[in-house]
Amino acid sequence: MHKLIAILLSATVLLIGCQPADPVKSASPELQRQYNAAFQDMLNKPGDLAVALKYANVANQAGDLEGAISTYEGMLLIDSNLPRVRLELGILYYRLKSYEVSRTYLETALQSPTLPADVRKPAEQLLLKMPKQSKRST
Amino acid sequence: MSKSNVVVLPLLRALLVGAAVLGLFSTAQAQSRIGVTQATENNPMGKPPGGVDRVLRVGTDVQANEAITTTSEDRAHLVFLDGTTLTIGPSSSLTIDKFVYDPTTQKGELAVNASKGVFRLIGGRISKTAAITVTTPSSTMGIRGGIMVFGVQVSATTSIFIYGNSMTVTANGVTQTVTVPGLQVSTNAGGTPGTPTVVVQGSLSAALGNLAGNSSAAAATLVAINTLVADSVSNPVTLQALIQAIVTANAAQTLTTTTTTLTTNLNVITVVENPNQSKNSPN
Repeated sequence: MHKLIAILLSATVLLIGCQPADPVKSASPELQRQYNAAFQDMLNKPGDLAVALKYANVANQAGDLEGAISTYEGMLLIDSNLPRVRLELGILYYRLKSYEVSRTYLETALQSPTLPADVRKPAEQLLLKMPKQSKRST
Repeated sequence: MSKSNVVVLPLLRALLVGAAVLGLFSTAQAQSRIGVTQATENNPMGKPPGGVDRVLRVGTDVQANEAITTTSEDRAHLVFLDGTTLTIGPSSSLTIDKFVYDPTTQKGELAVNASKGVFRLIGGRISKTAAITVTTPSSTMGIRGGIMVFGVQVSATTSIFIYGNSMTVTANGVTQTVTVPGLQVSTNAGGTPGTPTVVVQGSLSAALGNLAGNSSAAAATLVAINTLVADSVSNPVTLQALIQAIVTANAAQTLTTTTTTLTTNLNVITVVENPNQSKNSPN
């Protein structure tokens, strides 16, 4: 019995450690419906920022972090000086363990001449938590 | 048959044929739409097969086999029907060689040919089951379920693996496979892919900077974006809690992956094709 529990625990740890091939397929049917609807809405109204953000939020909830990232990356094409968007990207890339990119976005957010106070604090907080191997050597 | 019928029937026939042709044309147009332009800076150009050059504006459909070019001041951000996005930086040139997607099975194929410039590819549904292929003058890359930034010159291609299952870089029968985010592979024209190395921070920042626009949006636009993002994300208090939760979650998983991250060479696989093996052989 103990052996079985150990195997199950090991399997659980492995499953948690692995990124699912397509996390959206593991989402609830209702969330999948919202995700698909938000995506189609975005394709039909590509210039509507509110629609794009709704998709980013639903994608985030459904585990499609790349979908959320792509929406925010598109916003930086409109203007690169969007520290709040850079913070969001920093958080999303951190969740993906892509720490170098995360740090780049957080640092550029902090360099913004129009940095809001409510962006500075979480950006600094996350930078402090960056894994050691990812910290800049120069 | 009355005289009026003699005139009306050919006219009716012509109208029906015309309608059918128009119907077929619009169906073909609809079928050839493979994505849409979501954001642009200045005047990126697109040229559909058999069509004329046109400026890609927000909302412009992207078609199969379209060739896209940018000058030093242009950028474009495209969304494909499967959710894949492609950001095209300045001074770039790219052709969408193939896009096939079945929304029912969520499977398909995407292949692009990049001859110069800097790009970011974020894989959508297609990349969950098949690699998206990027061909450049010096290498062929494949990205599975993830994000890749690449710079292309006539003399060399540099591919940075940002996230995903894997990135492969193949040239002259040698393939490098990368599975750890933050590694890059450089390939000189006529050579083989180099050993993956940790991405140089300066080059990563430069590439990401090239893929973002200039600070040129109207103040009202910036206020609108900031307000929308702030409203949609969360308030500062929950944001702090969220970050702490994310850090804790990542730290818990890092316990099992620290060794892997530090010893990145273990995750790099070099495959040299057997030169005696026929390229047509499935084995």
